[in-house]
Amino acid sequence: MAISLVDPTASAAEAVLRPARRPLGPGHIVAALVSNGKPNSDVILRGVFEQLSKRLDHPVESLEFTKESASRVLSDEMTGLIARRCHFALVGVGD
Amino acid sequence: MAHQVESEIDAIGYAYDRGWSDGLPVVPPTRDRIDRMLAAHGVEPGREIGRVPERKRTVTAELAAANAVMAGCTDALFPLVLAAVEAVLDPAFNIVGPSASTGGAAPLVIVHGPVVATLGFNAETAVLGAGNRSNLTLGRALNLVIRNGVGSVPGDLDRATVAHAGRIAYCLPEARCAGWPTQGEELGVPGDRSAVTVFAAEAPHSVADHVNDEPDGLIDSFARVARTTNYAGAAIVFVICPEHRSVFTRAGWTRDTIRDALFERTAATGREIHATGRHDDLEPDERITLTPDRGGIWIVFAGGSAGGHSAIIPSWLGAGRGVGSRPVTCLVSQS
Repeated sequence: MAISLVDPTASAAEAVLRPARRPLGPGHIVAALVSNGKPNSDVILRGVFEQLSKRLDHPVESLEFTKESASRVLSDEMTGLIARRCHFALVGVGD
Repeated sequence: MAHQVESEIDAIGYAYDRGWSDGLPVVPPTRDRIDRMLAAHGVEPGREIGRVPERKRTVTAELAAANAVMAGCTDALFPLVLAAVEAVLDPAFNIVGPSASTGGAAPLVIVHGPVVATLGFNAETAVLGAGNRSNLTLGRALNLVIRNGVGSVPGDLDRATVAHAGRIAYCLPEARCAGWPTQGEELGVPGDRSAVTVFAAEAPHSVADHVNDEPDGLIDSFARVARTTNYAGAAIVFVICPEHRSVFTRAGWTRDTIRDALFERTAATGREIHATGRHDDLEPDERITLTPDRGGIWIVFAGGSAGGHSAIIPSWLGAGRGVGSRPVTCLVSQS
């Protein structure tokens, strides 16, 4: 006789993700460099940004941010600040 | 999606194939078993136990029951499972941190109060070892919920470098000892209530001392081992065995005396900590205490009556002195 099993897993709720506007107008690009606070996260981010800058046609500047805790997700406040001031973000993760 | 198999044995294999298992065979999560567990305590299946907003997941009572069934829990243990799940989903615990971190911490479930006796937990010989259904299935149920409900699957969102066996089951029932208040009572659990405390924890560090029968020498043994730990938690658990407890009892020490002595004798300098690769943010002469305050020195009496073997259970390295994760205590509901 067949046995029915109940799925013991939870799925992530469907999220509607829409790309943010990418206004690459006459002004320069602002990149957020978001360090997770662990050693060398900031060093790697700056290195990646330097290489990226050489490849972009637009002038680009960076704003550096450091997470309040490497163990927690970015706060809503910091996310909002980055969204208001920056065109994209580079995030340092890992150890 | 319907999950149908031909037999209980097939169900065990199916659970492996679907990735539901922690590596051990599970009790098949059938509708009858889950409904019986929920009905035994009048819990609605759709009741929300907690959320994981970072992963857009919700953990319901039905999901908790399904994983408790798979773990082999008796129906009687279900209120403790619910309390433990509620606790790990508390934002203070920050489940996505310890369950994803390379640090490989496991959720230690400390059980306080009358249920230790009434539900057959083992707080004595081999307390952190094998053999007791309540100890192991409660710890296992929580880990299965973290895997299947929170989504922390090794190699996917769980990036633990080494981890430890507590990821299967990690449960520490607290013994009640005449003349000694419990850690649960110090955490605010009323004497007539039961509760669970969850604590993102490393593996136990052994403290073997068969020599010192005076408290100062014994404290030095504990301190020697404690100084090798990460100094990262809001709390650290000292599991004191009966033989060691008797040394303190004979000397008339109290929990406060033990705690103060441990707190003072585990204070270190940045220089000492740097030498072991920890806390490179400290100045060489900067003083650091084992926990941010004395209240973080937790004392749980447990273990077998023979042997001078206690243990220290440090916090997850990423706890950040409580910023990254804090222990959470939840009362067990009375049905």
